[in-house]
Parts: sequence; structure tokens; C-alpha cells
Amino acid sequence: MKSRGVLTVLGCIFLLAGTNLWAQSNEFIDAVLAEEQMSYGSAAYLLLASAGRISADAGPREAIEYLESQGLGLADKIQDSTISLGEYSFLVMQVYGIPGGLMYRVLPGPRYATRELAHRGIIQGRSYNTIRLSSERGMRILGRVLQLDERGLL
Amino acid sequence: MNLHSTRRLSWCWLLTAVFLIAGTLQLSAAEGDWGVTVDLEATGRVEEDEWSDAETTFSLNTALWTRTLLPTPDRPGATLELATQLGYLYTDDRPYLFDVDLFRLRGVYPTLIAGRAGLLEQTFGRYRFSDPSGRVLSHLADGFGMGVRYPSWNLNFGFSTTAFQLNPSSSIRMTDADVADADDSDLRFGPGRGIGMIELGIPELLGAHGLRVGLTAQTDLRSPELDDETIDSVYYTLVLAGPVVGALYYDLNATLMQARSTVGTEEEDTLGVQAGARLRYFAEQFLSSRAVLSVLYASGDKDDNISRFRPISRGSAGTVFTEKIEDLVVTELGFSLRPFSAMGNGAAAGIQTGVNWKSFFKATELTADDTANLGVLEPGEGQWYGNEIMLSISARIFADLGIGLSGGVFLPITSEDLGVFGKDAEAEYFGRFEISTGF
Repeated sequence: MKSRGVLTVLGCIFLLAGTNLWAQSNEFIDAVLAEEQMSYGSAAYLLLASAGRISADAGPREAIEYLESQGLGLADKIQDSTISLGEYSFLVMQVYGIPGGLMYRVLPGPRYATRELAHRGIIQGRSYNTIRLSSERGMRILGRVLQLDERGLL
Repeated sequence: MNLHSTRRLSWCWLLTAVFLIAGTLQLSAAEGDWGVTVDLEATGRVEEDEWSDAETTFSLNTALWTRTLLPTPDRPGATLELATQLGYLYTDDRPYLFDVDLFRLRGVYPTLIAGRAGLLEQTFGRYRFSDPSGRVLSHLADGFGMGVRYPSWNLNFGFSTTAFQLNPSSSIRMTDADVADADDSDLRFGPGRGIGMIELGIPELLGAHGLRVGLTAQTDLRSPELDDETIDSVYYTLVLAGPVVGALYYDLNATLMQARSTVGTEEEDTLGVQAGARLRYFAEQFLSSRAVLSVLYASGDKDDNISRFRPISRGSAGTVFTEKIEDLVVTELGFSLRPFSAMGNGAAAGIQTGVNWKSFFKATELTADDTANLGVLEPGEGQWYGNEIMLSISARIFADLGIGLSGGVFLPITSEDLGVFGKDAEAEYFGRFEISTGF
């Protein structure tokens, strides 16, 4: 089932991030898996926790507050809002400081963030920026980001 | 067809395409994407000692593309996608050519057959049709296809026509009449063919060795004028591919052609053969190296049993040597690497360099007809056309900006005993510069 693959990815995320979140994150994992589509709060928490940008015991609300304090938040989104592949890609690019292509430098946003991650092989399969994002796919994308980050290829 | 009606048709064609694309752009605001690609290319071609007669061309190819996921109510796991692409091509000799490069509606549905889960795929519209080897047919056409996919096997079939491909975009050039039409600017559409194909694939026939067998048939839809040839043909293709050892992979393909050509009331049945073998080696640890060694054979008019192999879409044997792949043997040795791949993910890491060597041989002995077709006044007595050496360097500087530079030479064999072109043949040089971007 998909749960097994997702748990593996999440395990990698927290191990690679050098945090000790595994035990206390079971509830969070269950909550993410319960989401058919990735929510803004879950995405913000996963990205910032894996990047070590927020403390281990923070939650989605604190993650969003952190994003907004850094000017990285998504406009018109609340914690439970679902986000698209493009919006998630834009968050990934900003949180991990991934340099984009020509158009991304001129017009940074979901469209060109998606294309950048697809070009790097981080997004596999359909890479339309407005497509809905499942929680499972979001975590797989994050797993690839962490693998490349560890190898210094971001 | 006069100039005014041609222009009127061009604009009707263009407006129809724009209308369709604009509609899908609107749809793609929901779940989908759109973009524009821009490709610039400058090429030069010149024969030795004729430097002042260098043939240079410039082209700008841009396209507006859309991808739209359409709703599929009550079908969990199903996807229905509309893909479109409207292209614009500027070249020195043709200031504009608008064409619909892609208009494809594809549905993929989870299905159960005999209790086993698989996928049912339906495709409709204008898209690329290919036979299992890609050497008989690889061309845009209008039609539909259907397939079922399981982990252990898949089956696909399709029907299409090339009758609505614009003449300058068509590479359906099977007969002399087809070839003559290529330069006829009054013709709106290219040679019409009705095409049917069926293919069975077994991805893991023996371990990781996969098998694909296919039958491709085409019928000539032209209305022949007096003495024009029409041709109907069937192709039976087999492709076997898999690993040899480690990162060394092979693929083998063989195609038998049965054709019936008709001129007036006379009919002639012929058999042709095409076969190829290729070895590829991938060494990621050594600067992302790639090596390829291949050989390809396409039969010529040899005797009563085997005749010229005539594929549906015309391919080119090489880059500088552009003869069609008929009555030909081609050997190839290529190597490429990314010299700065160890430097992480910067622009330099994306630089790729390559060298490619091809040798071309005529599959049958030279005849007077061949000499006339090649335009050779004093031919040799051999079957070796010559060798082509290409060097290339390309770089993907950003995700949305790539450049490429390639150059090469065709060195004809001037030995009268070995060569086709004779002792006076001269080398031909070729260069190309490309930039591709998009937004």
C-alpha cells in the first residue's frame, strides 16, 4: 500500500534532516496520510522541518508563521488550504534556496519553479503547475530534494 | 491552386488552430499548463574548393503548447488529457509556416481483464505514430489508437492518415511522385497514406530482455497521374532489447517488407529487409560517458527475391550525408561525456561533448540508375560511399536555455575500386549552431 512507501520517505526525511522527530511524528504522519491532497500547513511543516528551519516540536501553524515572517508565504492560503504542485514547488525552491532558470529569475513563482524541479528530476511524471498535489507525491518530491541536497547537487 | 486561395487557406488553417489552442488554454487554467518554446538554428554546408558557394540556412521555430487534464467523473484513477501544440516555422525560403504539431486527446483508465488489473489507453487526434523499431514509420498523423497495458504484456493498435499533413512538414516520400511533390509549392498537403498498425510488447520475456513485435500496413491514397507509381506495403517488425552485462545494453531489430507497386495497370510484388543491431554502454561514474556501436542494413534491388526496402517515413542516413535509408549499410561508433559533471549542478556540469563516426556503404552493386540518381559523372566501382565524422558540444545553461554547436565532415571514398563517387569526389563540410529557450 502507499502507506509503506510514504513511511519510508518520511523516515528518510527525518533521518537526513538529522532530527529526532520520528517517534513524536507518528501523529503528524497519520494526519498527512489522511489528507488526500497536500495542505499548505503540512507542506510548510514538512519543508521547514526537513530543512532544519524550525524547531522539532513546532507544528504547521508555526511553520506558516515562519514562512510569512520571512516573506515566503503563499498569498490567500490558510493552514488547511490545499496547494497545487506549482505552489509546493515554489515553496521548495524558496526554502531550499534552489536557483532557478532565466524565467524564474525574472518572474519567480509556481510556474517556473515547477519547470525547474522537473528539469532537475525532482518532479517526475506530469509537471503541470496547477495540478493537484497528493500528500504522497509531495513527500516523494521532498525525498528527492533531500537526496540531492545531501550530495550537494541542489 | 492560386496564390490568393493558398493564402486564404493558410489563414483559415491558422485561425482554426488558434481557436482550438485558445480554448484549451482557458481549460488549462483549471489543471494543466501552457508555454512557448523558441528554437533558433543556423546551419552552413559547403563542398571542398567551393567555399564561395556555401549554403547557409536560418530557421526560427516557435510553438505554443498546452496540456489540460479534463474531468473524468465516476472513474477513480482515470485521467483524460488534452495536449495541443501550434507551431510557427520561419526559414529563409519560406517566411512562415503555421502548423498544428499536436492535438491529442488521451484517456487512461484502470481496467480489469480476467481478474487482473491493468490500464486501458485510448488516444485520438494528431500525434506521432511509430512502429516498434521507429525505422519504418515515425511521423505525425491524424487518427486514433487503443492499447491495454499489463506488467507482463501490452497490446496496442492504431489507424491514421497522413493526408492532412502540410506538404512542407511531411516526410512521407516513398515513391518518385512523393519526392517530386516535396518541391511543389502549390500542393497544400503531403502524400496521403492510410496506415494501420498493431503491436504486442512483452517487457520481460526472459529476465530483463524485452520483445516487441508489430505489423504496420500502409495504403497509398494518392490519385496517380499517368505513369505515377503507387505503393501499398506491409511491414513485420521484431525488436529485442535488454542488458548484456553491467551497464552494457543491446537492441536488435528486423523488419520484413511486403510491397505491391502499381504503375498504370502493371503491378509488381516485392520483398525488402531492414535489420539493425546496437550496443550502448553507460558509465555514469566516468564523467557520465555514453558509447554506442551500431550497424544498420536496408536492402536494395538485388535479385528477384530481395528488393529495395522502402520505409513509410523517410529518415536520413547521417547529418552531412543525407541519403535515405534504402539500399544502404551504415556502421556507427559514437562517444559522449560531460567533462564537468563532477562540478555539482552548475551550468558547467551540463556541458556535453560528443564525437560520432559513421561509415556508409551501398548494399548492392552500383547500377546506371543509381549513378544518375546520385548525379555522379565518373563513378567508382565499389560500394563504399564514405565516412562522416561529427563533433558536438552542447550545454543546458538553465532549465529554460540551451545552446548547441556541432560540426562535421563527409569524406567520400575516392578509391575507384572501393568508392561509389569516384576519384573526383570532394569532401563536404557542415556546421550548426542552435539556441533553444522557452517560457
